[in-house]
Amino acid sequence: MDEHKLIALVLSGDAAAERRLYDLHVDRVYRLMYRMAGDEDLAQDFTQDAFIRAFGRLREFRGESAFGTWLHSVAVSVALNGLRKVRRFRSREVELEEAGALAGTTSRSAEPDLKTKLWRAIDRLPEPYRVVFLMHDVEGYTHDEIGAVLEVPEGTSKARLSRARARLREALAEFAGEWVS
Amino acid sequence: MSEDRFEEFVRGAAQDYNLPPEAPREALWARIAQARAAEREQAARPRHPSWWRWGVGLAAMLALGIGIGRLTIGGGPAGIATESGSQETTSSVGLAGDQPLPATERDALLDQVAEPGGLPGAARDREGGLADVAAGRERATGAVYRVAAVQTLAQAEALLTSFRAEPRRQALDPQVTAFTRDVLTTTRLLLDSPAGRDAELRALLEDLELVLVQIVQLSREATPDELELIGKSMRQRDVLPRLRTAIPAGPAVAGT
Repeated sequence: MDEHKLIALVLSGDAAAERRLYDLHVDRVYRLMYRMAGDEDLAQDFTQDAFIRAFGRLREFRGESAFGTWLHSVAVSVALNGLRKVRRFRSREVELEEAGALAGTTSRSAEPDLKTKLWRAIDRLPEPYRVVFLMHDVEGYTHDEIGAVLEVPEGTSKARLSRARARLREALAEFAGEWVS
Repeated sequence: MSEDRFEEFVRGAAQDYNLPPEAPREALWARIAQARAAEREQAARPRHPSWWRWGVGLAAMLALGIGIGRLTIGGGPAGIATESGSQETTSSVGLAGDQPLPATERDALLDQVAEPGGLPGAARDREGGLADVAAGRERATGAVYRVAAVQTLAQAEALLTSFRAEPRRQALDPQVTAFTRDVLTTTRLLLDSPAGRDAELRALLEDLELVLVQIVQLSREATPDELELIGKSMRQRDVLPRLRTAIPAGPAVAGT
């Protein structure tokens, strides 16, 4: 069925249409949420919240972009807000424990190899760069899609990716020989 | 070193970064459907008009102003009579402008105002002013209660979100336990407050209280079963989604 018809059915209160719309998009949204959160519970919370908000605000969707793009926009917003709260809370804990720098959302081994070092560097990227990096280099979104989701020009998406890569290169400088060989 | 080789390396190595498992479609849908059903039910209920919040805010400010006035002019919150026998400062607020009421009579009248048709004839001319004061107090209490409730719910949301996100450790951090205890205390105060008449909020606070008690009672050697039980309580009662629905939305951040 055409997505616009599905949306019209959802707006008329058809719960089965809601389920079909959910089925069409849940996998991709969940993947991105998981990549951003690195935690199963958080990824589920963000995905769930994104769909609830999107269905609740469906009347605001004007059809200027694809529904998937709009849904991703809601989801990324939910995830960024959620991660900010988690990090704020954790950073307070870390300060109190004097445990050094705040690590990412997943636990890593103490002696980092190149891959682990890369993951830590990704964790430490500023959030706007990290989102673009994850969407483009990891999940394969185009700059056009990313721009639409984040509501920024395509050029901004490209610039953020370039800065993200530059930071990663800097963080991995000590391993330079490994990817050259 | 070549730029292309670095990009190629990063792309390859980053594929394992936060590698997602398969989406738990059915479990997620069950929670979404439940939350949507609750939203529909809420939407079907009569709602306060948009000016209501402004009204409550203004009433709270008015009540605050009166309170400050009492404290600064009268020297006490209960309207203490001055030695010279002049009128009580509180009695001048909202009354008809003739004789001030003694504190005991005023309190008795306030009680009667709360009951329909309970005013004696002699005090009928003062009814309007007293009713205004009583309604103002009630509105102010309601507004203060709401602010406290939203603050507590926001703290609880941050706490539970973080608790769920924590790696499953054997013992809970003492700082987290202390914070949980604080939130639990405020939750209980809100539950005990007569201002908390909102049945939906009350149900949420009761469920929240249960989860917080479970977290506080986690023993030093918490087993995975205990942690799972807490997770189950949160999921079954939809505590986090309900908290998020109850907290007013913050500014959008997409595109930042």
